[in-house]
Amino acid sequence: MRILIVEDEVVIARRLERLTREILGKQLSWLKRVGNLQAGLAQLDTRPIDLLLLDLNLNGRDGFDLLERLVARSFHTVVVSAHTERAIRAFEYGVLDFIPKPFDRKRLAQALARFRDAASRSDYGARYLGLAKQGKVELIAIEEVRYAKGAGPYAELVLESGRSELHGKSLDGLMMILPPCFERIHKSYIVNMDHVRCIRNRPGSRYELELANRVVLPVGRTRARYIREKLQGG
Amino acid sequence: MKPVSLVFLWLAISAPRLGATDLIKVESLFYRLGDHPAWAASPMSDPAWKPMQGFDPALAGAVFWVVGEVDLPERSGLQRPLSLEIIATASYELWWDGRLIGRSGQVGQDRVSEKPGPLDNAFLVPDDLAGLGRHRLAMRLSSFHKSKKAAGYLFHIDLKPMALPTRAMDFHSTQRLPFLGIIFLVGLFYLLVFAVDDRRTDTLLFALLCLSVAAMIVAESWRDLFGYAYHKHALRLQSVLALTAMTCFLLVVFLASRFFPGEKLRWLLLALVGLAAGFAASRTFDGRAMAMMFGTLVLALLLLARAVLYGKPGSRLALAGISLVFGLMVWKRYGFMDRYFFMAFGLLLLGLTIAQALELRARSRARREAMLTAARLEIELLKKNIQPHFLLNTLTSLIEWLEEAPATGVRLLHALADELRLLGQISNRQEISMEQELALCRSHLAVMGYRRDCRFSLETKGVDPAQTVPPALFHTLVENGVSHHGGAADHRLRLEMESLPTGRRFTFTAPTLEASPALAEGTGLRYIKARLRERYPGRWTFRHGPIPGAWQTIIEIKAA
Repeated sequence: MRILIVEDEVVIARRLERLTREILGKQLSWLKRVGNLQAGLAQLDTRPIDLLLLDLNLNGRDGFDLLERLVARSFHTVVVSAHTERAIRAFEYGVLDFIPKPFDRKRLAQALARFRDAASRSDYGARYLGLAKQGKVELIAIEEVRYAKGAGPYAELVLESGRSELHGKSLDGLMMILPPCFERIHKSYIVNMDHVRCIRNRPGSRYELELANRVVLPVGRTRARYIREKLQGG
Repeated sequence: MKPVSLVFLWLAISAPRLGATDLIKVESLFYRLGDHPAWAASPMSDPAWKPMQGFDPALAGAVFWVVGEVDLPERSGLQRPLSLEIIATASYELWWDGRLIGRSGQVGQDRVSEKPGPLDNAFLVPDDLAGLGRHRLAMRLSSFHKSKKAAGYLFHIDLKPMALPTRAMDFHSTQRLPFLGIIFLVGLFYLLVFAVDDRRTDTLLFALLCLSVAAMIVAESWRDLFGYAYHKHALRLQSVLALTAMTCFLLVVFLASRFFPGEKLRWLLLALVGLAAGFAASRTFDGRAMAMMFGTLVLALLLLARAVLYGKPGSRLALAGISLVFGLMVWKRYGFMDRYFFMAFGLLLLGLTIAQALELRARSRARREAMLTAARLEIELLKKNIQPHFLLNTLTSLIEWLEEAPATGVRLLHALADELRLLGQISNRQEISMEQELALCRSHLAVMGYRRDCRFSLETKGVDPAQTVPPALFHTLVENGVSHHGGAADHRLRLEMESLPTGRRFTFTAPTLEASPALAEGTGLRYIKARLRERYPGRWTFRHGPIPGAWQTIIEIKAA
């Protein structure tokens, strides 16, 4: 695991590093601390990471402009902040977890565990996803996403408008931050259940979902029962 | 004339008058120095009788006689009974067709033996002597008590129906009386307001202005209301003139104090110059009064025009009022002083009263807001203790220190306790000593030093520990300075104070790696400016900006 810590309070940054090393041990392959935004962004451009630990209130500035950009990236972000009133908004931007200050080892471990568990979902789903385009980030509302299809290390988002866009995260990564209305129906598909019309039986005990716009998506065998139950129940 | 009867007479005036304009001015009169009873009937053709034009000063030194003839033509307007209204600065005996019909005072041979009579008199002409045709009027006069001043000679005789209101009772004399009551009450009210609530100069001056106008009305009306012996006429004229001068002066000074409080002295001197010029411009009482009024009203108009240009609230209302008075004065001239002055001034004062009431309301609202502001500021100061960014970050640091190097953690804990305690002590004060403020700043730097694991220091130059400043003023700058420090190599913050001829200047410098626009809108700045506004209203300046390697803030406070 490669982790970057962006925190301007030196002693707190040291704490994050110390506890992270204690918790992850050998699983941690790379960790770096930077004290300001510029250094953080520079670092993100030079080297890929898996997880970002970020303080929202860097040097008196509001980290949300940064969060907007990070929402499009491949790595997950965990916010560590004294401003708990910003937690919900941070989740809307697709952060994986929000750790209030002061924090102890147990709380940090909880966030790191969430990161390592592919099946984990965030407390509040993202409301926006970011699309990186020529150095700028376009934010799209989550309701617009009909489904996502695996595309190597990335995910292809298919939107209501018919548009198709690439997102920096993999399907696994996306699942961890999407709201409950999204389900992993197949190894290669995540669907927005709000856009589903019905589930259909196919010969050979296979299932498929029909979306509102007539697009049909396959349902993985292992997930079929769960999806069916979810459709009937909700 | 007793004031009680005024009410009835005032009502009587509003009734339609009969032949109101019919009145005979007895103007062809002759005088002769000396004293012979026979002159009551002596023919006027005698060359010893000289024509009387006005009142010759020589007549003040001896007993003399005045005779004249009055023709009563066939005129239905002259309703009997008739009365002779005589205004004279002398004591006299009055004969009509040879019969003694009245006296004023007691004629004497010298100052001691003469008893001065009233200036204004009215004598009933006996009905049997009031027929058509020619009648003979004679007077025996002495005027030893008349003042030596050139002005103040009066001699008029009118023959008119008794039903006609006297000069004292006509509209122009009585219409000013209700204004007396109103203006006096307004003046008294604002005097009380000044004493009890709004201790500002312009309120006091307005009260004095109203009382001065009220006093003018009393002085002007004294003759009509109470009458006086003829020798006091000059005194009354002088009082009216003095009160006119005072009223004009107070008007200008009040307007200056209300609209240009910083320039009171200048306008005061201009008013005095205007009055002096007016006084010198004429030799007569009326002329001087007019000239002084003219001069000061022009001054008032200029002052108000300037106030309107500056957009001062209430100035337009005042300008309208003064223009009205000025316009009336220019239109009516001498008639203005007698007749329209008090009505015009009454309306003007009404306008100014409204403006003053509005001003008082605005002031009391400002006072309320200031109190609210003080309460808000105290809350903001206390909140500094518990801002999440400060407290929670410090506690997180504290936990780390306690787990890794407990001794340092304990030191951080004490530094934090110091800062919290100091903030608590000063929160409800409007000002604290520089010594306390610096202690507060340094406790914050100690806490931040532990948080950032470095050493911050505050260097001072020229700072007097005993001088006072609003609480947490520099603490806020220190907070901002540290939070935007950004890891610069220099950890020394500097505060320098210089005494200027106009006051004092504080220069605060905080080293920083980046001079970013965020520094220009720190949340603490609102607190700093609110404190400056509360403590030094209208005499502070706040500037800040980047200098190489640092952010500099300059606060200047002018002496009161």
